[in-house]
Amino acid sequence: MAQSDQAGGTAASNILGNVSALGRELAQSAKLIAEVRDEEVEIGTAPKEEVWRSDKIVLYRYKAATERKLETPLLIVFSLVGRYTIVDLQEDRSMVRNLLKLGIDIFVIDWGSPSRADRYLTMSDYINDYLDGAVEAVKQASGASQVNLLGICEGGTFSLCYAALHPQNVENLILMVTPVDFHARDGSEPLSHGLINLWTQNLAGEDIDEMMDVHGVMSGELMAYVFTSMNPVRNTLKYNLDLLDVTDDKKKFLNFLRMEKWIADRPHHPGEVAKQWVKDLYQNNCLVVNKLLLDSQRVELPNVTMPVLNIYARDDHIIPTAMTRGLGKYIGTKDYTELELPAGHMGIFVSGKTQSVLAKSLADWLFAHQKP
Amino acid sequence: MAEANYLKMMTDFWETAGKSASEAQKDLFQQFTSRFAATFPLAAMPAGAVGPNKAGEAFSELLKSLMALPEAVKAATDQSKLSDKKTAELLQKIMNPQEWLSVSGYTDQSVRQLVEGPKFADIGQLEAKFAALFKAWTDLRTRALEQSTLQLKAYAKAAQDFTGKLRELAKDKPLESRAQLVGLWVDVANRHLLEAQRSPEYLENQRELLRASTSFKRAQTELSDYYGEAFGIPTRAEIDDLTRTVADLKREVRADQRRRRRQGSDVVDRRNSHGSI
Repeated sequence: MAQSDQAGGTAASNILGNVSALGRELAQSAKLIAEVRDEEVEIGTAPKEEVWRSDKIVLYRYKAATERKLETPLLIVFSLVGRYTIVDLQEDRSMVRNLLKLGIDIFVIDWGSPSRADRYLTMSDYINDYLDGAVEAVKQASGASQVNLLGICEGGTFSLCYAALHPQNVENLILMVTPVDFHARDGSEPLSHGLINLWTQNLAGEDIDEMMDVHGVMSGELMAYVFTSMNPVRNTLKYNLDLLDVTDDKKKFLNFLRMEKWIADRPHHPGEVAKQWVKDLYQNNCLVVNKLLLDSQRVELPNVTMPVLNIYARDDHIIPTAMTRGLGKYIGTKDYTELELPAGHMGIFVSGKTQSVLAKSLADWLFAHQKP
Repeated sequence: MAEANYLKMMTDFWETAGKSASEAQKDLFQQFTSRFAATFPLAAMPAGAVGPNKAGEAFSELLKSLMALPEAVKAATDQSKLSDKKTAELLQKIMNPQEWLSVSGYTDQSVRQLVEGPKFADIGQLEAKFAALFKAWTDLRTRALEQSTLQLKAYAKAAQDFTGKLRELAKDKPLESRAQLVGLWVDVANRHLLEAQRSPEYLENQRELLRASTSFKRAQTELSDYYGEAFGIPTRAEIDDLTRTVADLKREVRADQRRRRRQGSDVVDRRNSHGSI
C-alpha cells in the first residue's frame, strides 16, 4: 500500500511536470535570455595580440600556452563569409586552444567588416596583397622563413591559390572544409547538400554583375538567409523549441547562445570578390582547370608542391565532400593526405565528437612534416 | 498557471488512466486527421499565379485555408482524452502557419535590408521616378508573395504527410517523447521544403525575385540621385567613382610597400651573405 502510494505520488509528480504548459517553458527561456549578460556569451577569448594591420585586415598572434614544439608557425585563414572566432568559440570547444597546448605557434587573420567602401577589392587584393602581407608579417614576427598555412572554407580556397602563386612561402598547406571543384557531385548526397551550387548556377553572370553594381556587396544578411534556407524547418524551431531543451542547463544554454552569436555576425562580401567567387568558381569552375586569373596571374594548381592535408566534414551540407575530395589529382605534390571527420561544416570546430581528434590529428601531421 | 487548472489536468489524467498511452495518442491523431482533412482544402491551392493581384489572391487564399489548422488541432486536442497537454500544445504550435511564415519572413527581412533607403513619403512628387520605383516595388512584392506561396504549399504538403505518418505510428508504435515528435516534423517538413526549393518553379521564382530586388534598389538609387544632383549632394555613382579611385590608390600604396619590404629583405639577405652591403 505504502509502496503503491509512493509510486502513485511519483507518477502524479511526473504528470504535474508533464502537464505544465509549453508556454510556461517558452516564457522561462525568454526570461533566461533577458537575464543573460553579454560578457557571459563572449566568444574568441583565447589571449592574443595584434602584430600587423593593413586597412581593415588585422593579424593576431595567440599567446603561447606551453613551450613551442614546432618551429614553423601556423597561420589560420578563415572565410570572408563568417568570423575566424569559430576556431576559438569557447574554452572547451577551441581548436586554437587545443593546438596551443600542443606547442604550436598560431597566428590568425581577421578580415574585419567590409562595407560598400570595399566593393572594388578583388580576390587578388585579398590573396596577393593582404594574405601575402600577413605571411610576411608572420615570418618577421616568428623569425621563420616559411609558414604552415591553414585555410578554412573560402579561406582554404584563398590559401590554395596563395600556395600555387607563392609556394616558396608555404612549408605545409592544410585545408579544412574547402571548396575546390565547384561542379563535383557524387550523386548520393542528401537533399540539403549542394544548394548553394544549385542556386548560384541558377543565376546568369549578368545577374551577379548587376546585383554587385547596385548593392556594392554581397550582404551578410543575404548569406544568412541562404544558410537558413538550407535547413528551413529546423531553423524556424530553433529559437523556441530548441531553447526548451537547454533552459534547465545554464552551460548548455550559454553554449547555444555562443553559437548563435557567431552565426548572427555575418560580414558583407566585397562586391568584386563576390563576383569572382560566384562567377569564376561556382559558375565556371575555373580553379580546377587552371583558368582562374588573379589580376593577370593564372593560378596553376600543379605549382602546389608542398605537403597538403585536406580535412573535410562528412556531413557538410555547405561544401559537400565531393567538392573538396578531388583536390589530390589537381595539385603537384605527391604528399597528399585526406582526413574525414564526423561533423558538419562548422560542427567540425565545435562538435564534442571532434574536439579530441581535430587538433591532435592536425598537430601530428604537422610534426611529421616539419623540415629538419 | 492557476491551481484549478492543475486540478483539472490531474482529473483528466486519472479519468484516462485506464487507457493506454497509445490509445490516447491514437484518439488525438485520428480526430486531428479527420478535422485536418475537413478544414484544409489542398485542392483549392492555385498554381502559377502571375501579377500582383493574382499572386496576392493566391497567397491570401492559401494562408486563409491554412490558418484553420491550429484550430483544428485545438479542437481535436480538446475532445481527446489526452494526458500530455504539452504535446498537444506543441502540435498546435508547429502546425501554425504563422510559425512557418517566419521562413518567408526571412525573405522579406533580407530583401528589405537589401533595398533599405528612403521611404516613399520622403521622396516627394517626382512622378516619373516615383512611378518607376512603385512599379519596381510592386514587382518585388509580387515575386516575394509567389515565393511565400510556394513555401506554404510545401508546408501544406508536409503537414498532410506528417499527419499520415502520425496516424500510422499511432496504430503500431506511438511516439514516446516530444523530441521524437519534433524530430519527425523536422524530417518530414525539411524534405518537402528542400524538394520545393530544388524545383524548377522555385528556381525560376528565386531568380526573378533577385532580379526584382535589384531593379527596385536601382530605381530607388536613381530617384535619390535625382535629388542629389538637384541639391548638390554626391550621387551613388559619384561616390562609387571616388571609392574606386581610393581603392586603386591604396592598391598602389600597398604594392609600393611590398616592393620596399622586399628590397629591404634583399638588403638584409645581402648583408647576411657578405657581412656588409
